[in-house]
Amino acid sequence: MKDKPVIEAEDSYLSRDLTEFDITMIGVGAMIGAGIFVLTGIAAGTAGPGLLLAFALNGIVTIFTAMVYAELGSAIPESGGGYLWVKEAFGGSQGFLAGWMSWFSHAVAGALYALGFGSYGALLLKDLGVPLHHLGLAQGWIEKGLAVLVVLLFLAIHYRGTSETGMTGNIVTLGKLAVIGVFIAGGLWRIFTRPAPLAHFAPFFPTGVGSVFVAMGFTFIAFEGYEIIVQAGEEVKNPRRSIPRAIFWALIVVVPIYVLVGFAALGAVDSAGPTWQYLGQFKELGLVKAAGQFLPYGTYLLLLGGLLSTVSALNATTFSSTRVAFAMGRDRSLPDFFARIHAGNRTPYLALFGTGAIILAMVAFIPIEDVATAADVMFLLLFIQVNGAVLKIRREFGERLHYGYLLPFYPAVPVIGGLLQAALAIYLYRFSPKAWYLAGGWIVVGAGLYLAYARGRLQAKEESRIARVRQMERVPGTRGPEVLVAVAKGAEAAVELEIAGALARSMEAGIVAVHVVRVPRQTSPRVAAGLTTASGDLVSKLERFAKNRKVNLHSLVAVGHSVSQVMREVAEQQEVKLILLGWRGVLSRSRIRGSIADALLRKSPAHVLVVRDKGLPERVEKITLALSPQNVGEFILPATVAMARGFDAALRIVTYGDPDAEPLRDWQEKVGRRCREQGLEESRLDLKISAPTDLVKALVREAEQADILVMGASRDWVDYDHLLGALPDRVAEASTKTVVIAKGTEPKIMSLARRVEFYFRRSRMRS
Amino acid sequence: MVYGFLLTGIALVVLVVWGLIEIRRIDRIIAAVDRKLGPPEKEKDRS
Repeated sequence: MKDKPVIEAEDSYLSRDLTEFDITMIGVGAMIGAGIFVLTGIAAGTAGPGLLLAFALNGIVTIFTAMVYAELGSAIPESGGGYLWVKEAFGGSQGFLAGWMSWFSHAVAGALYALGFGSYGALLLKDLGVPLHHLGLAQGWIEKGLAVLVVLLFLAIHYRGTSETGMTGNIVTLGKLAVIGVFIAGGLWRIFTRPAPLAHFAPFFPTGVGSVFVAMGFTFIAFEGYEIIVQAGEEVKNPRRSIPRAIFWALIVVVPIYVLVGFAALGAVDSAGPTWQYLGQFKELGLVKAAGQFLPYGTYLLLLGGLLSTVSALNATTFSSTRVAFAMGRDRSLPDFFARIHAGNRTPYLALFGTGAIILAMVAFIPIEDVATAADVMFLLLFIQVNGAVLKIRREFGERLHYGYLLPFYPAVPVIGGLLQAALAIYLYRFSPKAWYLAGGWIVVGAGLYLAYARGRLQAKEESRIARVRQMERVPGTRGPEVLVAVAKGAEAAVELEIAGALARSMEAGIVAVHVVRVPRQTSPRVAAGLTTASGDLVSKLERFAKNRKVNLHSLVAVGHSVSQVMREVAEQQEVKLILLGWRGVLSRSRIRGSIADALLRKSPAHVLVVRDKGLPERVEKITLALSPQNVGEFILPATVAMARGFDAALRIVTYGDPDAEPLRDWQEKVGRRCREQGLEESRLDLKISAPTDLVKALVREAEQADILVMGASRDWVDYDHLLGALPDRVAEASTKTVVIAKGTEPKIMSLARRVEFYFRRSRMRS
Repeated sequence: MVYGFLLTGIALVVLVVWGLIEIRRIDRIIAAVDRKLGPPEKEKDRS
């Protein structure tokens, strides 16, 4: 045993909890939905059936910049996306302007979606017969009013920090896809059951080929999902691989769907004049009106899809624009108060209010077409900068960055991408000069702000720019058979820590004590890293514990969205063999189910001990291990023996069944031998077999006679669980002594085999 | 109209095939970069 305790300094760890599927869905969700619902009608009115070509060509234009995003996102996966890279590459005024435009473009996109929501909401209220017009309100005012209300609602939600989880986001995206799928299927059915299916598509370019380019620029905002994907960069698992793959998958899925939506809308509608004019006349409601013609309850279905899409897109854009404003505050491009985090809600609330002000101003005073075009212009200008940034970053840092993806035909791809976007941006002037004035005005204000305010503040930070590109390393000194223990604030004297100490002493291992600071989805773990400094008091208490118990302890303050996810990640990263965590709180229907412990028990990279803390005596003298007769203790036995040795306590091992049965006598012999192999003295071991009528009562009785009762997780007790509820949960609840529930890791195939075994056993017992 | 649909179809095919080719390249690129620079250390941020 090591006699000199080692205390490592406090460290912070930021969680990555989004999978490749999650971020693909984020990208698909950001693209499909609001953009396509709101813009298809307007764009059809501009380009006629040429809209289909506009969508497909936009896919090609987009893939150039998507490759740029894939390359940079894989190498520098940090929140901030395009803005961050332009800042890293060029710094100074270019970096500032990129952030300034990125903030505005995301906020304006939010305004577009809020206005879309207002239109859908007002139409729904009208269709449902809600008599708002009796109040003397014009339809336009009702739409604007609803848009303002939904913006205020989302500001409140983001301020409080309660938002959708990744799973909810995925469900919403799948819901939107389902609505779009029904629309496409209904439209195709209508088109191909007609005598002349393609009649509505002639002429293909009724307003000239040039209008295709206008429609391309106008709908470009519906293709910028990769900007949203990389915004989540620092929360993605294996970002090197996941980010580029997600970007390409999202494009491959989305663009054909857009073309099909346009095809269905233009081809399936009946109208007195050309269908593209009919769709254009209803603008953002064009798709809804189309669906009303060829789908039963189509209006309501599309309204539902539209409301869902605009709400989730507004949520995403509020989220991303707030992050950009926050990042600019943190970088000193904007006043410091933009980087302030609310002490209670842990959200960047002042950045949020600034963003909210922009969204509300756009919603209240600017028509929807000009809002959409202004957002398009801003995104196009930002993407042009990003195309330049990829050239500079590859030249300056290319030899040192761990790219996960490298774009082909370098430097042709970013140069062509930038030129195509410049052409589209210029073309948009034809559609909406007002949008260009708006965008230009924003840039001029930004330039003035930079010269008068930000330049001086940024100069001091500039020197450290190059060093910031990559800063990743492993926590030092934590290899080997470590014990990971979760420590809650105020629970520094918790039993799990004492047990971790005993195990570490016995196994001659170190302890990694993790305190998880949970932050809401709106707040990036990186952004909230400052919260870890508030945990200094906890760390000094842990240091005292380590000194008193003579163990090596490394304290780590982790920031993440989910405690169980953070624990899993830290366990993987630090290569620990054993995880300990407390199980507190109110027991609901005597179940551990749904708790953090449960989430970790179901999927853990290391063995897990869940401690139901009922206190420990000054000196632990007796530990009882309840082993199911099917289990000879692959992991639970050595762990409990180590615990007994660490506490210098006696160990009783008890199982249930017929004491005279041959298998149980074998079991007794095998278990005794394994205990001796683990270094437990014969005199400290007591093996017992009994045949109780009520297993829960028997186990509780055993627990009462010991200081700690250890037992396997539910899967070890399948014979009883389906009849009585989860056995360990019931014992832990009924006992007045501390109960430790253990679950070893097992290969996936084994887990499946157990489930099959459980199914057959249950069927047998029922019969 | 025929040219319109033809152009749209070609653009779509180009996009999908190109996207799939790029997805297939990713693992090869990672392996090549790792050979050159060595595998990246596991991530840790000391913000």
